[in-house]
Amino acid sequence: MYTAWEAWVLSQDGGKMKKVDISIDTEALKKIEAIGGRTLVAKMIDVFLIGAVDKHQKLSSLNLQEPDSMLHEIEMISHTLKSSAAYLGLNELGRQSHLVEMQSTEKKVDALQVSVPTLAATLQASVEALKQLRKAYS
Amino acid sequence: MKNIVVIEDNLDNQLLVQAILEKKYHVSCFESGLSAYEYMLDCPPDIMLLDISLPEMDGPEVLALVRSSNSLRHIPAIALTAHAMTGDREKFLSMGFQAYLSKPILDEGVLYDAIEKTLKSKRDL
Repeated sequence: MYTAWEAWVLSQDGGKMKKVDISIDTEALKKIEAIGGRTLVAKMIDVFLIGAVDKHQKLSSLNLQEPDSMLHEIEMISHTLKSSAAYLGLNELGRQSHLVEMQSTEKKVDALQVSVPTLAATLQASVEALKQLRKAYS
Repeated sequence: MKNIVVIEDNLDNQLLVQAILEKKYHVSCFESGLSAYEYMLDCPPDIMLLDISLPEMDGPEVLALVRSSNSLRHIPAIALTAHAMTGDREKFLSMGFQAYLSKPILDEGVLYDAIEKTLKSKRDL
């Protein structure tokens, strides 16, 4: 089962608002619930939300005109996001993170100019969606 | 109860793995290889679960450090990784890991099986 949200996020290109659709695969959350109950789901969402603030800030402030010096940091952030997204059923975030991780590994600098801001926007939208879902686990 | 050390910097992953393992084992979790290494010198575990992508010192480097210690070199290690690429399994086994698990780990049985099989086949390193 998928639960979908729409979120309006600030685009990196000129500060325009753009719509990002986020779906959360609640089956993934049910698997976590089966392991550690609703308390574990709530804890994992909270941990993700706390860590997302710093990751979003870093992704948004990277100097993509000089990505060579940033490639390792981009790779680490996208790798972590990919892993967390898989647990929390954030499939679009997982897809975008995987793309950015591969591009940073392969040093595809031009492609990263587009994919990193997209990842930041997807992360922001995922955070908004998870904040809403979190209320169900209070 | 067997002692397990988990080295994983992603707190989401750490929470989940800990929730699974503490039903059957005594678990100690660390975010960095160095802090885990220092702990293990005092309290050698029965087995360690080691994330491949870690900041500063990555999983294979941590394993190399552990294998260089006379008191820890015998401890079996299972690699945890979100790198799901062809050939990874062979690569990690050749590095000295005894088993390899791909994340996300949402099946308790898979994790328990890997640990029990690795403990049973524990060999001199």
